[in-house]
Amino acid sequence: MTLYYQLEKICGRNLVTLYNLANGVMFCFLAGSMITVSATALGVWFKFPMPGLTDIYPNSVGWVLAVLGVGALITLVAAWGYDMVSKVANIAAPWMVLLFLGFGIIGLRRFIEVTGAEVSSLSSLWALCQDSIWKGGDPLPGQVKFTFWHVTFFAWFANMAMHVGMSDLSVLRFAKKSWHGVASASGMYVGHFMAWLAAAVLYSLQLHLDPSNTDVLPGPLAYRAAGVTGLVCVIIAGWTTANPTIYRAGLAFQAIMPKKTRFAVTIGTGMLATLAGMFPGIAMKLLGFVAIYGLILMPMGAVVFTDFWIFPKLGLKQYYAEHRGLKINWAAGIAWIATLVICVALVKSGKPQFQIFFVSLPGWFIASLLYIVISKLTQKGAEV
Amino acid sequence: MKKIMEIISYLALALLVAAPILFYAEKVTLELNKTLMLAATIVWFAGALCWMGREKTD
Repeated sequence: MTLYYQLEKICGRNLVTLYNLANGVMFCFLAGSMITVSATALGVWFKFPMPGLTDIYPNSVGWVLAVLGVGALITLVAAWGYDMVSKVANIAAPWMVLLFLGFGIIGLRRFIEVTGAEVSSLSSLWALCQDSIWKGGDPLPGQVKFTFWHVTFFAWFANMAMHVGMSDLSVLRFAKKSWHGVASASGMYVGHFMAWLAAAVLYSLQLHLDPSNTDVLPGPLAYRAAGVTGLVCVIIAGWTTANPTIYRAGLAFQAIMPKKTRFAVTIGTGMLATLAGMFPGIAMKLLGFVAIYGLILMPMGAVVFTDFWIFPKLGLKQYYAEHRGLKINWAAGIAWIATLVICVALVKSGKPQFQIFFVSLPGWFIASLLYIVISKLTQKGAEV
Repeated sequence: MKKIMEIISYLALALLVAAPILFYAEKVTLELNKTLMLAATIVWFAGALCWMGREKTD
């Protein structure tokens, strides 16, 4: 049972095709940005010019070749299938988590060295964090000022398409127990909070040493802290994120082209992701992109959740499109589009509580409510 | 043999986190810390490949 098969039963073939197209393209861009991340590690080794924070287009032949190499490798592993994806991730995961922790510890020590701070207690550590590492200030031109709440919500919603949007079903369908779903939380809390804290320490150190160096390049950051191990970590971190993403995107496209083999579709998807990865603009604007793609895919997650858990309690018919042989379940379609329109209007209102990073939370409830109300109307009178 | 590789792999993971702690405590230099982390990484991947995900076949 994948998200795409579940959705087809709920939404109908035509609507799910549209959704799969949006889904597949978004995942390609996300996987592309992870390929970009991995390629920054190769830049340290091969010393080709790397993109800066404001770069959108590829800026050197070396960069293009690096992305091509990493993308080809990732695509082949993803095309090999879930077993291969899972094996790479299983071996890399514990090593990577401990390495993230190591980055933070090393960064902290380096900060103590360069600032000459005395850290002998938790309060003096807190003072170092406040005065030197996370000392605040105005954002760079064109960047959003991130507060505590931005980071908290972003850590929650950065993978919204996977967790709330239910794309995790493509992997969690292999789970043997329902509680295995908490694996998503480990990704968020360890992968986001801890890794981001460590990365923030390293980036802050870079700015402390050279305020003019605003490049956000994971490869050089990791290399300065942990040498070759850091570079390997960046390559594998991008790889293990891109791998299941390409695999998911492949499943989405395969649902549109069921006669093509999954291998062929995944290869095509990986090529598209690699092409996207050559454009650093996507990775450099990742925060905004991830918020938008989560927002676009989130309403369908709400539809799946509501259809599965709430509909039986309300006496509504589940899998309505399959039941009635519909090509489009308008209740799901309108809930999807109307939620997006409402959320975009809320973002455009300019109110800080409705910034793109926060709006998906009320959006989920709006989508669920709309789906229930419209289903009540469309199923009323129809033979169910 | 599998069990030995498993133990060696976990020791490598312990070294991976111990090296930065030793660096923090100023017991090793940054360069030595990097070398230890690289050694731990090589041993982890080489060791884990021997036993991780092979439960079904053994």
